Amino acid sequence: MLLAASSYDGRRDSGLTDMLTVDGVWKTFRGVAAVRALTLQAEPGNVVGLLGPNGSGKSTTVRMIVGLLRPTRGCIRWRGTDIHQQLLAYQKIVGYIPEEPRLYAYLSAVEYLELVGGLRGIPRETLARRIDRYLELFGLDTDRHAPLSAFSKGMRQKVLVAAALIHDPELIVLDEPDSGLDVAATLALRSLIATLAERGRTILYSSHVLDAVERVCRDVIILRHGSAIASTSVTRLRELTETATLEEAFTTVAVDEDVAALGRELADVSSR
Amino acid sequence: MIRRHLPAPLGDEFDQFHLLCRGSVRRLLSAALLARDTDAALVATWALVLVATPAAMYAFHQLIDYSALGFQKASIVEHAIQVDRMFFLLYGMVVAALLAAATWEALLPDRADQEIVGSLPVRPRTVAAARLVASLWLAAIASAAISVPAAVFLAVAAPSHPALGYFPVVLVAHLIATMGASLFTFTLLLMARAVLALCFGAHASERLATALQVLTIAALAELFFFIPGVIPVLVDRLAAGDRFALLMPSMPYAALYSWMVGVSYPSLGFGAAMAPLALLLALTITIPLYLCPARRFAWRSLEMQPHQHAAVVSNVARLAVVALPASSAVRAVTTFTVTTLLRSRRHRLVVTAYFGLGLAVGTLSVLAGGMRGTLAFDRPETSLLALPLVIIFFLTLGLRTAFAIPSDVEANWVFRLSQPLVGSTGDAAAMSLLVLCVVPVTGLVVGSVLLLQWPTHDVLVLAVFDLACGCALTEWVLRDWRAVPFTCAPSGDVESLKSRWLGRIVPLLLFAFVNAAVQKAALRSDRAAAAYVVLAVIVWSAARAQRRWASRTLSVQFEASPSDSLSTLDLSEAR
Repeated sequence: MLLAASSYDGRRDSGLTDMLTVDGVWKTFRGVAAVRALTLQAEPGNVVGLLGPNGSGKSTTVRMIVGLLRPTRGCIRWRGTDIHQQLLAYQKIVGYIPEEPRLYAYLSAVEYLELVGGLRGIPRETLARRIDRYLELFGLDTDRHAPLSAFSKGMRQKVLVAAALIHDPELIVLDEPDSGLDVAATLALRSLIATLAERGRTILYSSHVLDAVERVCRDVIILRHGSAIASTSVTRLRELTETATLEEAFTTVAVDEDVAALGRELADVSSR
Repeated sequence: MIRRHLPAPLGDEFDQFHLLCRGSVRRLLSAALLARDTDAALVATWALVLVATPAAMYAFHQLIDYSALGFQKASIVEHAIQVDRMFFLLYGMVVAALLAAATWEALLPDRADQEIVGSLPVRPRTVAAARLVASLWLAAIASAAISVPAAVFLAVAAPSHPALGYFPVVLVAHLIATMGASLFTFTLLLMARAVLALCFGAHASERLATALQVLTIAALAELFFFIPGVIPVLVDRLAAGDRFALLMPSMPYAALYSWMVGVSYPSLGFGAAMAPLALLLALTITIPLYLCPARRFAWRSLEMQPHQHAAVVSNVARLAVVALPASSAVRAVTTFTVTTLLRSRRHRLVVTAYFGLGLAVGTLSVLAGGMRGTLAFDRPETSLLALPLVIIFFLTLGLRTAFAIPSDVEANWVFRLSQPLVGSTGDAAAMSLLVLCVVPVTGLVVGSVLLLQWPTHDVLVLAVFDLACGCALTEWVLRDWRAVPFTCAPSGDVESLKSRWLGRIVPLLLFAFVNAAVQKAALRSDRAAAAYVVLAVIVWSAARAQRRWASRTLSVQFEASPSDSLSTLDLSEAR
């Protein structure tokens, strides 16, 4: 079942080029397709949610969009240009928070942010000012010189958020950004995303937290087995599936199994 | 300075290169660290002191020796000094190889690097160039640490005899020749790393690190015990102008050293010219090998699924563990231990260091037998029988040391919650030693002596001997073991490495060399063989019973007490 994109259909013909376009992209690993003929668009000021069960191809899609992986087939365009034609120029305007908090664990938060900012060519004084401000706002200034190996998952995630935003990117790609964050930081992150969208940034938000997606995103794309099975606005998706929440809509569209029965069976495994 | 003269795009890339170089040095040091939470700078400093000390001490010793050479003939002095110079060259080359083995996984940007840097606007070639330069810089620092003190001592000794050379020339010649030889070796290994990664993929290339580690440790030990006997032969060949000998990696640098100091051997000029050319050629090949396929390496490292190292070996080991008669807890801990060791490069590094030492000492005993004329391959001789015992001894100690280094302290909650008994963890550690060391070495012994066409009876008896001895040794090294392997956090206390090693020399002599002589005697009759086995089994059983008895009231340790802490190098006599 493909719930066709009512919100995108109009834009496709509008001649809008100031957007991210994923056009019929495939990605295969050793002959196995992780992403199949995926098409999506994201425009400035909009937050697009990327949903799907484990192994549905969300992270592969995200990694192709930030230029970490090359599509096997199809094309990813930014403002009408294939990103791989000018990858370095494209990566300068992308901010990325990866699913796993991968960092050089022997660096401190300041050293890591200096490395990222330096590689992005931010002038030293500006970088120092931004790093100080991010660490202060995230409550990390007392741990600024501690190695990242000593940081909790939430603290590392905050460093990654700072690293993704430090160069004021135009396109922000978030892969499970709230993983490990406490309630206050999660709420602050949602507010941050909404503010950035208001300021005209293009945002792609991949998450399992459907409540967060429902609050933050206007449009969603639901992936299953590497294909988009729904690509529309959150409101329209709820209407089409005749459900009250995004969680119910997602369950209707993307979850085949009887999750309640599965839960009961799991509980029985060790008691028998 | 360079930055100011570059056009804008290149200038930006230079800035990135500069930043990445600094990061790469720390990445390389981090790869060489055995424990994750240790201070890289501190460990690097101590490691430099450790490798610089033997060369400096040797040079200082020569300073005293040379002062007594005043009335010797120039030709005799020249030959003697050539031998010493060759030692410094070989030492520098082996240390460079050791550095390459220790930092092997980080010599090329890998998946972890690409995950972090891949989404940033940085060219893969910039990352690769930074890693190459950082690697060479580290090698140069290590080489300088070895060469500078020795160069100063040898230069100070120069006025003792005209044949020793002129003071400043000796200083410069020593630095250029030894550092050139070290950098040449290191560059050759960088080249090998890149070629292997290009031809066989990153995983195959990374696996070579273990073999390289064993070889370099063995070579380092041999350098002190065995090579001093070989070096004079090499010097004779150099003096005779043997051009074929110049193909050996150290020889052109020895020729360069001699040529700079002013020794008048024939065809020295040819050898001296080869030295810088060899280094230049190695660099000329290595640089494009790093830079040209950098983009390909970057894509490939991200496209490849994370690889399970040693999957086949670990499955075989797991099957062996399942077959052992033990409780489920013992089997579970044994499987965890074996799998962790096979998958953890840091722990393998420790074990291979001990294995390399064992190989060197074992080879030495065989060669010593050969020199004494007691070595024979067609019948059991003490020098040959000692070889597997030496390897079992070092490997068992290496594994015991590796067990005490935690793999991931934060993950040990699984064991904390299940609270295995101390006796069970000791049994599991003992079984792991059997599976990882005693049984494979015994198997190798059986295979080797079968190849030597020994009588089947002798082969079987020898296998039983080595198994029984290995089991007894296993219990001896684990007599105070109270932890699940790889889960106990070190206390942070330090103790002298010297004291432990002195305490192990006597057990080594007893277990390997005296024991080999006893084995030789026991192999002469069935009755003696049976008595030997019974005695070994009694020792084993007694040690096992003592361990289990001592552990009955204790609980499993997850944080080491100061006396049980991991050995760290502490050369200070002040405490």
